[in-house]
Amino acid sequence: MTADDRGQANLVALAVALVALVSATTLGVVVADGALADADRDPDDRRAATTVADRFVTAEATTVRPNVIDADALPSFTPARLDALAPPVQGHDVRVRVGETVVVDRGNPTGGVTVRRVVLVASKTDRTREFDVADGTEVTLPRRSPRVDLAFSANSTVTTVRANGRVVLHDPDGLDETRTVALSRYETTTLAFSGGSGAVSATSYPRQTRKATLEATVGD
Amino acid sequence: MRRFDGRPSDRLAADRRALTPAIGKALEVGVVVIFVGVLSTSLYGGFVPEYRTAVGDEVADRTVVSAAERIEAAVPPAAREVRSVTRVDLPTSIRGANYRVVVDGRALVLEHPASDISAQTRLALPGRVAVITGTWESGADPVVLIEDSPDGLVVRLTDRRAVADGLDGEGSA
Repeated sequence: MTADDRGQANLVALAVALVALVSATTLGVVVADGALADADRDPDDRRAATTVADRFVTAEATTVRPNVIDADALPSFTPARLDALAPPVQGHDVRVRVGETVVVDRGNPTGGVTVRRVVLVASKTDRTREFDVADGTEVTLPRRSPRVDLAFSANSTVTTVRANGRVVLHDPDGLDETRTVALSRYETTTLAFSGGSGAVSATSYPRQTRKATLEATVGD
Repeated sequence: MRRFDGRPSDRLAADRRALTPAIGKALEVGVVVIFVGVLSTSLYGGFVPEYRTAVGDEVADRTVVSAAERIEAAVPPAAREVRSVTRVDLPTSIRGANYRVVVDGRALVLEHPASDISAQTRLALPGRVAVITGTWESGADPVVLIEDSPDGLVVRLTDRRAVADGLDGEGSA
């Protein structure tokens, strides 16, 4: 090898070393960029979704009692009401689903944060039963109901009605109109009629509940 | 190093040889210095501040959300007379600078000297809260002070020393 070749080999080695250094630096920057993108957690969307889910299952406007959603309140629920219920969701795209039904939909929140809660959905039904009573007749209402409407026939002579042993209606002249009795939510009610006889039509309002999943998705 | 044998060809080769290593090394040193200079400039002038700002923005987002959640959790249940002081943990600085957390209507806003870093979120407070006011400076001891007023609850963002002064020796918050 001549002297010229030796000097050139040094520079070539240097060039290779610099190229390796540049590639290492670029690789480092790419890894850092990837790590930063992965660490992006969208805390604002997450907070909005959690607040929507929390408020939906505890607010008076949407529930019968905490964690039991009122099915009758769902069809008329608008995005504006959701904004008032959970202020952090204002200005975001949001979708709230209860089971299979979409309750509120605004924009396109796919790719956002989803919060799920297991809830019961309660829908009101009413059942009317008619029966004849005499002094001492007991009738048990099979489903719990917050109240029962008792319609007595015009010629009935029933004077007292008890619910689970507690006197709820009493009229010495005979009950003969439609009266509403509030019932216990925690026990099945047995109505006891005494003092006379007559025909009674009892309308109770049991709630049907079914299990569903509440899904709140909030995007940007 | 090659030794002189006294042959004519060696003298010619010696001239060329004396130049190449010295210039070669000088060139190498120059190239390396320039390269390191260019790399440092591009990294510290371009990439690094961008990444620091991006991370600062991320931290600001999480800080304001965490502060909002602490404030919402600090509101006590309905009672006849209320006075509560709740301590809140905030990062001392974001991107090396002190920042402020202020209230804008019913929203919490984080103000930072760097224009690219800012964050805000709305507060979800119960109806019995009438007014939210106050400011938090990072670096001080932030607390949430909740008191009664004729219109409802007043939520005030202040720091621990201001509250301790008002307690007049009843004990530290």
